[in-house]
Amino acid sequence: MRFTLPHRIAYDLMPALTPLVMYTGLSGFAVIFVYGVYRRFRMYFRGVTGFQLDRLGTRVERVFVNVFSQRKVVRKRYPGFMHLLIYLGFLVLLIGTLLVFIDYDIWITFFHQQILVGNFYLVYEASLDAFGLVAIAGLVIAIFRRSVTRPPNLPSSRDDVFIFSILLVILITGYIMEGIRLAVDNPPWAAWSFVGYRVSLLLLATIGKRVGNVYPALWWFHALLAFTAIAAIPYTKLFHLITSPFNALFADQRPIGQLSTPFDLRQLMASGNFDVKVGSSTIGDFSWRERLSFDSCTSCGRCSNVCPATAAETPLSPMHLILKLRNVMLTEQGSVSSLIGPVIDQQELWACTTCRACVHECPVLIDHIDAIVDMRRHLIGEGKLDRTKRDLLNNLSSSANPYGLPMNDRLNWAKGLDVKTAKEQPEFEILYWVGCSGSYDPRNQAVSRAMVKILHAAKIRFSVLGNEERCNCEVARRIGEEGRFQQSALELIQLFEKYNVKTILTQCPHCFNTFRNEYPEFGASFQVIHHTQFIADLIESGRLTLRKGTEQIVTFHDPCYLGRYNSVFDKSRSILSSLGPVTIREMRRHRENSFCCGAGGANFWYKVDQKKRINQIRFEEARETKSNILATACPFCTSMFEDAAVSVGSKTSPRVSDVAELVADLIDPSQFY
Amino acid sequence: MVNIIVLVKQVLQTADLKIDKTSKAVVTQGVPRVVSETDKNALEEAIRIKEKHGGKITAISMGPPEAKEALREALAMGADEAVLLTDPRFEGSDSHAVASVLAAAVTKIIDYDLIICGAYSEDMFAFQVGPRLAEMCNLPQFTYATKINLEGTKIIVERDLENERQIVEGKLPCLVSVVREINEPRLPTLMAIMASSKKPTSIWSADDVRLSESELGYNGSLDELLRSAVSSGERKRIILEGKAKDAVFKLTRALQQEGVLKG
Amino acid sequence: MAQEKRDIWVFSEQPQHAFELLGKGNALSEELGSDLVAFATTSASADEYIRHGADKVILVNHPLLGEFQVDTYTDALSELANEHKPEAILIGATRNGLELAPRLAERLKTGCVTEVTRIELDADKKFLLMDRVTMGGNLVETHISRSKPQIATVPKGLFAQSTLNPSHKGQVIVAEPTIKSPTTKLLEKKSKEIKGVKVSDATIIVSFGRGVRKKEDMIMVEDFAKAVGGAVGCSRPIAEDLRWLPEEQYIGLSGQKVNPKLYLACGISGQIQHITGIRNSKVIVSINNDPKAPIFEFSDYGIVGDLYVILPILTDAVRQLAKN
Repeated sequence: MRFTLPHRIAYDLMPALTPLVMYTGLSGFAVIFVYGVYRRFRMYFRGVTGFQLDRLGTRVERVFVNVFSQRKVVRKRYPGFMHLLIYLGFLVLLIGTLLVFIDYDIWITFFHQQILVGNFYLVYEASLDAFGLVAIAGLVIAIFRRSVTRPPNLPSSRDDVFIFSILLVILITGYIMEGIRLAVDNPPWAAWSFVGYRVSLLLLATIGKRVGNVYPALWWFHALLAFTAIAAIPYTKLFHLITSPFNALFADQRPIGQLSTPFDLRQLMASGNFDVKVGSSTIGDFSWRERLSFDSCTSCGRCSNVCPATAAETPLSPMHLILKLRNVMLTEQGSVSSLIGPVIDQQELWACTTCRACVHECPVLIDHIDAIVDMRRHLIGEGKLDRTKRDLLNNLSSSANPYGLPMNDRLNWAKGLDVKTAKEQPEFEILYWVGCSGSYDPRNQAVSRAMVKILHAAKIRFSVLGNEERCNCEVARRIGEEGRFQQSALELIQLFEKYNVKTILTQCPHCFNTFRNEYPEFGASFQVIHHTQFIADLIESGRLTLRKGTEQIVTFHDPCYLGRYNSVFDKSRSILSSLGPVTIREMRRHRENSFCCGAGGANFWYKVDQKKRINQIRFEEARETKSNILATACPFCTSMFEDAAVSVGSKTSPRVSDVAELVADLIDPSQFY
Repeated sequence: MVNIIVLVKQVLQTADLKIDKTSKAVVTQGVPRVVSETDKNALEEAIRIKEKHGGKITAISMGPPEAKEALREALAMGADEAVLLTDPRFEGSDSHAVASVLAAAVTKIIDYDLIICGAYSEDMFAFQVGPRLAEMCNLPQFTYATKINLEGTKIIVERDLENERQIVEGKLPCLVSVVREINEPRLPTLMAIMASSKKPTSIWSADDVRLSESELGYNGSLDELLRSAVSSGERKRIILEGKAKDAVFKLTRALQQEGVLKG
Repeated sequence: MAQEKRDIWVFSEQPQHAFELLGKGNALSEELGSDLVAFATTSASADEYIRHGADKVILVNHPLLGEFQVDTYTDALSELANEHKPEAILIGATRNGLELAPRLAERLKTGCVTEVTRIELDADKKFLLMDRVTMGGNLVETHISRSKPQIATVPKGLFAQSTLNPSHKGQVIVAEPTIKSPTTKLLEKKSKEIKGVKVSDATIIVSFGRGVRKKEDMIMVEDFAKAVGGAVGCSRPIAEDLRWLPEEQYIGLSGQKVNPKLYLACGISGQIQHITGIRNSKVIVSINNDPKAPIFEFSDYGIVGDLYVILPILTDAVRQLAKN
C-alpha cells in the first residue's frame, strides 16, 4: 500500500490547461460581477451624498454583532434556523474554497508546502461534506416556505426560483463530482468525505469506473454555474450578501429614539437663510446610505409581519414601501419625478405609528421610519394637509398643546392639590413634567393626581411648570414639522436652564424619549426619568411603602417608546409585583415584541385609512390573557385602550389602569405624616 | 395676471376666552392671537388664483402692532407683500371706520383687480366690512363664495346661500367674500414663516392713508358701543336631580332661560 | 320744524321672516307712535304684509327686483330711505340680508348692527338699543346707531311672527326709484337638497354614543332630534366601529367640530377626543347613567339617568313646549 498523507488532488481528473482556462473564464464573470456592484453603488450615490465613517470601530463592531452573528435573523426561530443553515453552510464552503485557492495558488508557491494535508485535510473534507448537507437542508426549507407554505408577506419571485435552483444544483453536482472522483481515485481516506463516499459507492455499483468520463463536462458545468451564481450576486437579491454588512457599516449612529435632524434651526436663525429643502419627495432626495438600505431588502417580510399598521389593514406595509422605493431607484435612476402620489400613497405615510417594530426586526438594518418621516416632511412642507392635521399643528403653535385647549387651563388638574409651580418654589429636587395629556385629558389627569399622591408620600420636593409648561412638540417632529419641534425644544431648554432643572420626571414615554434622546442635540443637559423607573426605585429603596393589595391578575402593555425604544421593561413589572398577590400574565407580544396601541406617529390626532383598529387588536390580545387589569405606563396607551374598551363594550374586559394609579391606591395613609 | 388684495384680521382665539370670576371681565391674557379662519380661506384662494394666473398678492391687516404676526403667516402661505395698518387713533373703530381705513389703503395701493376677504371674522361675526368696503370703493360684491373662476376680466363665482347655490358672473375689479367651504388653507411650516420675514411689509399709520381724526376710531364710527355685559363663564356643571320627570322639567326650563330652546 | 316721522321699516326677501320683523316692528312703532312700513315687490305680498300688521307698504314693482340682488335692492332702498327718512330699518338676517344691510348702511352713511339678539327702545325713546353677542359668547354688547335710519339685521326665530289680522287696513304706496342694472348676472341657481342640516352647520345637535345599545334604538334619538329641531350627531365608535351613521355625523377629534347653540350628549362618556369637537357649543347638556362620566365636567346641565327612560320623557316635554 502506498504510504501517502491524506491530501487534496488539485484539478483531479481534469486536463492540464484547466486552471488557465478556468481563470480566464472566471475573469469574464468577475468583470460582470464587479460591473454589477459598481452599477449598484453608482445608483446609490446618485442620491444626496453624505459619507460618514466616524467611530469606525463601533461601526465595524456593529457589522459583526448584527450581521455576521445572524443575531437578528434568528429572532424568528423557524426562518432564522433555515437561514442559519444556508448561511453557515455556504460560509464553511466559502472558507473551504478559499483554503483551496490559498493552498494551491499561494501557499505552495511561496512556502513549498500544502495546508490541506494530513489530519487537517481529513477534518476539512468531513466538514465540507457536512456543511454542504446543511446548506442543502436550508435551501430545501427555503423553497418549501416560498412555494408551499407561503406565509404572509413572503412573496415568491423569479429571483427566488433562480437563486434556489442554481445553488441547489451547484451543491448537488458538487457531491456527484466528489463521488466520481472518489470512485475513480479510491484514496484510503475516501470515507472521510462521507457523503461523497456514499455517492461514489452508488456510482460504482450502478455505472462503474467509466463514470469518470463525464467528469470534465460535469466539472465545467459546475464551474459555470458557480461563476454564474457569483456574477449574479449584484443582479439578484443575493446582493444582500454585500449590502447587509455595508448597510450595517454605514448606518446612522444616532441613539435609538432620535429621528434624523435635517437642519439646525439655530444655524438657520443665525444665517437668516431659511431656504432649505426639507424632506424627500423624489428618490434622489434620499441619501446614498438610505438608497443602499432600500437595495438591501431581501423581502423577508418580517417587518410587515410585525407592523401594527399592516395588521390593521391600512395602506402601509413596510416591506412593500421599501421595495417600491427600491424599484423606483432601479428603474429611474436619476429620477426627479415625484414619489408621493404616483408610487407611495400619502395614506401609507400617515398610517405609520413609528412603533419601530419594523426596524427592530429587520435583519439587514433598514430604517423604514427614517424613510417615512423624510417623506412626511415633504408633505408638511407643501402644507396641503387635511383639517385634522392642520388643527393639530395650529393648536401646537397657538395653544402650546395638541388639544387646542386654553393655555391658562394647564394647571386645572391640580385644583385642590398641594402642587407648586417652579415660579412659586424654585428650589425643587425634581421637576415633574405633567405633559399635555396629563394636564388636559381627564382620564390622564387622574394619573397626574396619582403621581402627586406618590410624590408627597415619598416626601419628594417637586415643582411643576404650570402655565409655563408647553408641549415639547415631539408629535410635530414625528408628523414631519421639524421647525416647530426645534423651536419648542430651544424654548423649553432655555426654560429648564432658567430654573436650573437637573432632573425631569415624566409619565409619558414620548416626552421621556424626546427629552432623553433628542434634546441633548439642542444643548439639554438634564436627566430624565420615566415614572415607572421612578416609582420602582422608590419602592425598592423603601421611600415608598405600600399596603398589600388584593389578588389581581395583571397584564402589562409595554409602551413602544418606553420599551422597544428605550429598553425599559422591568421597572413596571417590578412595581406590579410589589402590589401584593399579583399574577403577571404576559401577552403573547410583550417586551421588545410589544404590539403598538396605535397612537404613535401622531396617529392619535387624525384618522387613518384602516379596516381594523390597532388599539382594538391589541386590546383583544389583552382580553385573551383573561386578566382583570390591563396595566399601562403611557397616557396615550391608556387613552387608546379606554377607547377600545368602550368599543368592545364587554363586562369581562380588563380594567385599564396606569401603573401609578395602581400604586397610589395602595399608599399607606401613614406615609403622609 | 391678477393682482389681489386680501384682507386679514388677527383675532383672539375665541374658544379660549373666559370670564374672570373676581373681576368679572373677559380674560385676554394668555389667549392666543390667530388669523381668523375665513381669512385663511381668502388667502388660500388668492394663492390658488396666483398659481393659475400669475400676479401679486398684497395682504392687508388693520390692528394693533401684534397683527404683524398674522401678516407673517399670510406671507408664509404665499402672499407677496404685506401692509399693516396700525395707529392708536384707529382704536374704537366700528365696521364703517374700519372699512374707511381699508378703503384708503386700497386706494393708495391702486393697482389691484380683486379684493378677497372672509365673509365674517371669527371674533365679531359682523359680516359688514366686506360690503361696506365694496360700497366705498364702488366695487361689485360677490359674497359667500365657494368657488372663484377667472377668465380675463370676467369673474364667475359660485355662492352658497341657505337654500340655494348660485353661479353669478361679473367683471373685475370687484370684491369677493369667502366662506369656509371654499378650500382647505395650506399650513405654512415654521420654516416658511421664518423665511417670510424677507418679504416686504409696510407699516402705515393714519397719516399714511390721509385720514383725519374725525374719520377714525370712536369719532369716525357710525354705530356706538354703549355698554357691554359679561354673559357667561365656564361650564356650569349643574346636575339636575330628582326623578326622571322632575329632572326633565328642570332641564327644559333651564334651556328656555338660556334662550336655546323655544317655548 | 315739522315733526320727524319715526317710522319703523322692515324688509326680508323671505316673507315668513318678514312676518317676524313685523311682529317686533309693530311693538316698536306703537311705542314711538309711528307707522310700521314694509317693503314689497309684488302687490300680493304687499297685501300679506298689511294683513300682518303693516300700516304702510312701499311697493316697487320693478323687473330688476324680481330676484334678490344686492345692487338693485340697495339702489331701491337707499333712494326710498333718503326720501322717506325712516327711524329704523329691520332687515332679516338671511345671507341676502346680511350682504344688503351693511352696503345699504354705507350708502346711507349710517350705523348697522348685525345679528342682534335683542332690540329695545331706550328709556327716553330716542334710540334703538341693539344687543349682539361677541367674544365667543362671553360678552353682550349694546349698540346704538348715531345716525338715522338705524339699521339692524335680525336672525330668524328671534321674534315671534305678528298675528294675522285679515281685517287690518293699510296703505300701499307705489314707488318708482331709479334702479341701475346690476353689476352681476345670475347664471344659474340650484336648490339645495334639504337632506338634513350638516352637524357642522347645525344650531341644535342631539348626539349619542355607546349608551344606545342597539341600532334599532337610534330612532329614540332621531325622534328627540326632530322634536327639538336639531341635527343628529354621534361619537366615534358609532360611526367608525359600528357604522350606524356615516362619518359626516361623527363629532370629535378626527371628525367634525361643531358650534351649536345647544348640544345634547346622550349616552356619551366624554373622552377628550369627543370633547375637542364640541367645545365651542354654547350650552352643553349631558345624559348618562354613570355619575362619574367625564362628560359632566364639560357640561352646563347634566342628568344622571338611563337615557332610555329620560329621552322619551324629554321628547314629550319638548313637543309640549312647541305646541304652546
